[in-house]
Amino acid sequence: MATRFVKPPSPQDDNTDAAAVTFVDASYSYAQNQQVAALTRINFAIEKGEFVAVVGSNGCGKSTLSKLVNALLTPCSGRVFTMGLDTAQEQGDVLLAIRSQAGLVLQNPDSQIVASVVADDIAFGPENLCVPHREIVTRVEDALAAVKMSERRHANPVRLSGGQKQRVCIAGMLAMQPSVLVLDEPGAMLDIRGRRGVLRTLHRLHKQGMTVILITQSMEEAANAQRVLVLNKGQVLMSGAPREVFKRHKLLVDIGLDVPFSVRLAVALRQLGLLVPDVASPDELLQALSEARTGTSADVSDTYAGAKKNDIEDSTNSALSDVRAGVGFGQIVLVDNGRLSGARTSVGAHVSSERADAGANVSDAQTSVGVGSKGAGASNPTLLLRDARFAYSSNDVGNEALRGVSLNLGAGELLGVVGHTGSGKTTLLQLIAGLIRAQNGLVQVAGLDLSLRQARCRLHSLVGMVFQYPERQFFAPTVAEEIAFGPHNAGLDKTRCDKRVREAMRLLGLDYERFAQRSPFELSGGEKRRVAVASVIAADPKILVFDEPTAGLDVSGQRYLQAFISGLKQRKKTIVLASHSLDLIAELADHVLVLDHGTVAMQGSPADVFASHNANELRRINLGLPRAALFALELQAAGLNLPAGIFTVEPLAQAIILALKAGHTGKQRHIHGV
Amino acid sequence: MAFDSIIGQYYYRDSLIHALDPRLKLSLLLFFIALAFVADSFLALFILLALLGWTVGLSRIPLPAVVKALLPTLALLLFPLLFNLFFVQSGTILTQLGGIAITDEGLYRGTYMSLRLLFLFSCATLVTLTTTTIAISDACAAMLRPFRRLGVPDIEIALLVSIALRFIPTLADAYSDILKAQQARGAIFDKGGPIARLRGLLPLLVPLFAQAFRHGEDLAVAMESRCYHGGERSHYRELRMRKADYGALAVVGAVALLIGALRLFHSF
Repeated sequence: MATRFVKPPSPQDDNTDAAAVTFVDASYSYAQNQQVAALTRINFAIEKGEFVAVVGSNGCGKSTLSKLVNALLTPCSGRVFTMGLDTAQEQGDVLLAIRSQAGLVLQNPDSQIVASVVADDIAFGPENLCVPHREIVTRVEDALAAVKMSERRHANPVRLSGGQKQRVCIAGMLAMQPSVLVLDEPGAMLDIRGRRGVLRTLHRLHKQGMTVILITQSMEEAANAQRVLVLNKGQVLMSGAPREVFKRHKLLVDIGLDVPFSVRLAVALRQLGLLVPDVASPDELLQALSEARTGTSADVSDTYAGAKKNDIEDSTNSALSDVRAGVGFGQIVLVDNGRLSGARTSVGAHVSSERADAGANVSDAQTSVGVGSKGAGASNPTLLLRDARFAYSSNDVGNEALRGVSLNLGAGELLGVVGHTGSGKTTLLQLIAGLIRAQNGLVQVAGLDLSLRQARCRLHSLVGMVFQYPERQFFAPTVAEEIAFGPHNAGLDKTRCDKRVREAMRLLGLDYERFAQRSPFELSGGEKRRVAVASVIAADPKILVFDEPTAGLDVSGQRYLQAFISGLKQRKKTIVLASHSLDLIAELADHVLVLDHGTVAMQGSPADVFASHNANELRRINLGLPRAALFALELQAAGLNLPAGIFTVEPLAQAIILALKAGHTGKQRHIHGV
Repeated sequence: MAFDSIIGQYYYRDSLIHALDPRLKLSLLLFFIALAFVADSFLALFILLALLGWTVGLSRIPLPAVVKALLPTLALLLFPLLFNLFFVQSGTILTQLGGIAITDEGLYRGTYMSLRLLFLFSCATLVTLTTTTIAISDACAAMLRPFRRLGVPDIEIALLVSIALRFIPTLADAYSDILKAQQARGAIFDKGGPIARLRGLLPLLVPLFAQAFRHGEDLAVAMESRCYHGGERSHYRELRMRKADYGALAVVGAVALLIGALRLFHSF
C-alpha cells in the first residue's frame, strides 16, 4: 500500500520571523447567509507563542475568523497567512499543512468526535495525514498525556463528561502536531469543572510554546490571556493587553459584552465614590484595595476629588448621587444603620435599560395573562419533596441519579439548583415537571402527588419546563406555530391560542409582526432561546422550571434571560432554576439547593449556602463560591473587616466602602489618640 | 443511555482475545455459526461450549459482564426450550403440565436448541465485547478491499459505519430529551386516527433530524479541519496476523476436525 505521508513544508525553517497568524486586509462574506456576519478588511497579527483571546457578541465574525485561520474558508479579498503559509493556495499539500499547523476546536464536543474509542478518535487526524502506524501510536500517547486523558484511552467518548470530551478534541488536534490552536468557545457547553480543565490544559500548552487563539464569551477567561482582540460587526474594535481593553468597559458593555468581575466591582466602587485604578484581574483589585486601606497608594483627599470628577452620568439614580456626594475616605456617610440604602449601581446605561425593558414587559403582562389564570390558580403552588429517589435503570443500585432529595419551596419563591454535570440537577427538574416518576419518596407539586399518573398528566398544564438548549426541540415551520404548540395541546381554540401566542411573544420582547411568520430555525441564538421560552410561557404555567436557561448564549442573550426570570420572580411565579453560574443563582435565588452525586450537599438561603465556612465544601464538589463571595473572602483574608453573607457585586461594593471608612476612622482615632 | 448496552458494549481488557486480528475474529464468528449446525450431538455442543468458556477466560472479561451482555437475549434463548417442551409430543412422557405432555424428546431437543443458540449469541457477544466498533468496521473494510476494483468504496464504508456507531447513542439521548420536552408541552403521541398519529410524530422527528443535520454540519467542519480529504489514510490499528492469530486458527481447526469426526461417528 503506497501511503503518502504529508510532511508539513516546515514553515518555521523558511521564514523564521513570520507571525503565527496574519490577517492582511482580509474580508469574508457569506453571500447566501446574511445571518452570519462577514468580516471586513481585518488586519492583525498573532505572534508565535502568544495567548490571544478573541471576544465579541454573537454574529461579530468570530467563528468566520477561526475558519479563515484554518483554511476552511479563504478570504474573498485580502490574505490570511497561517504559520507563513497563504491560506488561499490551492495545492492540497499546503492546505493539509495549514490545517495540521492550526488545529481548530469547536464549541460542541459531541459533533467533533468521529470515533467511539478515545484513542481512535485522536488518531483520526494523523491517519488522514498518512502518518506511519508506529508514529501514530506515539503521537496518540503523547496527545493523551498532554490533556491528561491517558487513563481513558479505551473509553467510549459518549461516557465522558463534556470537559473530558473537549480535552479529547484538543488532543485530536495535538496529534497533528500543530503550532497554533484555535478554539471556538470551547467552554460554552461545559460546567465550571469542565471549563477549568480545558483552560488549565490550554495554559499548560501555551507554556510549552503553543500559540493559542481562544474565542470566548467569558471575560474571566479573556482576562487571563496575554492579549484581547475585540471584534464587533466584522471588524477589530480593540486589541491590547486585558487591562487596556477592560479600561473601556463602557464600550464593551455597549457592544453587548461583559466585563470581568474585578472590573465590574471596580466600576461599582467608583460609582460609590471610591477611586480605584483600572484593573484587569482580581489580584490587582485586591492589591489596590489593600493599598487604599493602608493609605499607601493615594491621599484620601485626592481619591475623593477623583471620585467627584468621575463620570456621574452613568446613573440617574438620585439616591446614588446623594450617597456619592457624601462618600469620601475621610467622611463616609452612614445611611440607615450601616446600609447605603437606595444605592444601585449598574455597569453602563445600556444594561439597565435592557433590564428595564424585559422587566417592564413582564410586569405589564401581569394584568392580561394574570386575568386568565385567576380561576384555575386557586391551589397554592408549592413544591414538596421528601427523600425522593430516582435511578435510570434498575442496575444502578447505589449509583442512582437522585439518592434521597428533600426540599420545600413556598409559592412565589425561586429555587436555585446548583451542582456539576452528573450531580442530578436535570433529573431533579424532570421529576418536578412530572416527566419522570420517583421510584421512592414523595414528590408533591402544587398539591398533586406525582406518584399518580393522573396527577402527572394534570401537572403539564401547571408546570412549564424550559429544557437545556430548548431550541433543539423546534419543529414548526413558523415561530407562531411553534409557540402555539403548548396552548393547542391544552385544547384551546384558535383565537385563544393566538392571543396566548401574542402575549407570550410580547413578554419575550419578540415583535409579532416581525417574527410570527418566520421560521424558528433561521433566527439568531438569542432569538431562538426567547422563542423557546415563549413556547413554554404560552401555556401559562404557574410554576416554571428552567434547566440552564442561559447556556450557550452570548452575554446580551444571557442578560435578557436573567432580567426576564427576575421579572417572573417579581410576578410571584414559583421558579426552579438550575444553572452552572453561581453568580446567576446568587443574584436570583431565594433558596439554594446544592446537589452532589444525587444527594443534597447543602441547602438554604443564598447567604447560608454561600457563607464563607462552606467555601471548602463547595470547592470540594467542584463548585466554589459566587465570585463576589470569593472576593469578599480574599479581602477578609487581607484584613478588611467585611460582614458575612455577601455574594453579589453591589452589596460587596457597599460593604467595602463601609469597611474602608470604618478602618479609616479607626486610624484617625488612633492618630488623634497619639 | 439505552443504546449503550446494545451497541458499543466494548469491554476493555488487556488480553489475548482482545488483541486478535478483528478480521480473524469476524471470520471465526461466521465459521462458528456454521460449526454450531454441524455439531448435532450434546457432546459436540459441549466441546464447543468448553472452547467458548476457555475463550471467555482468556479474554479476562469478568463473567457477570458477559452474563449482563447476554441478558437481553434471554427471552430468545428460552423460546426454543419452551416451544419444544410444549409442542414435541413424541418420546416418553415425563410429566403432565396443564394437560400438555412433557416428553423426554421435547426436553432433549429444547435444551439442545437453546444451548446451541446460547453458544451462537455468546460468540457474537464475545466478539463485540473484545472488539471495538472501529476495529470491526476496519475489518469489514479490509475484507471488502478485494472488491475495490469493482467500485466498492471500502474506506468510505468503514468510516461511515464508524461514524454511525459513534452517533447512535448521541442521537438516542437527543431523542429522549425531545420526547420529554414535547411531553412537557402537553404533546400526546397516541391519540386519534393514523393520520393524526403520523402528524403527532412531527414534533419528535423534525427536531431529531434537525439535530442530526446540525451534528453533520459540525462534523464535516471538524473532519475537514482534521485533514480528512477522502483519499488514502494510514491506520492507527494495524491489521496484522500475529502468532496468537495463527495459534487461534490452529485451535479452532483442531476443534472443527473433532466436531466433524464426531458427526461422522454419530451418523454411523
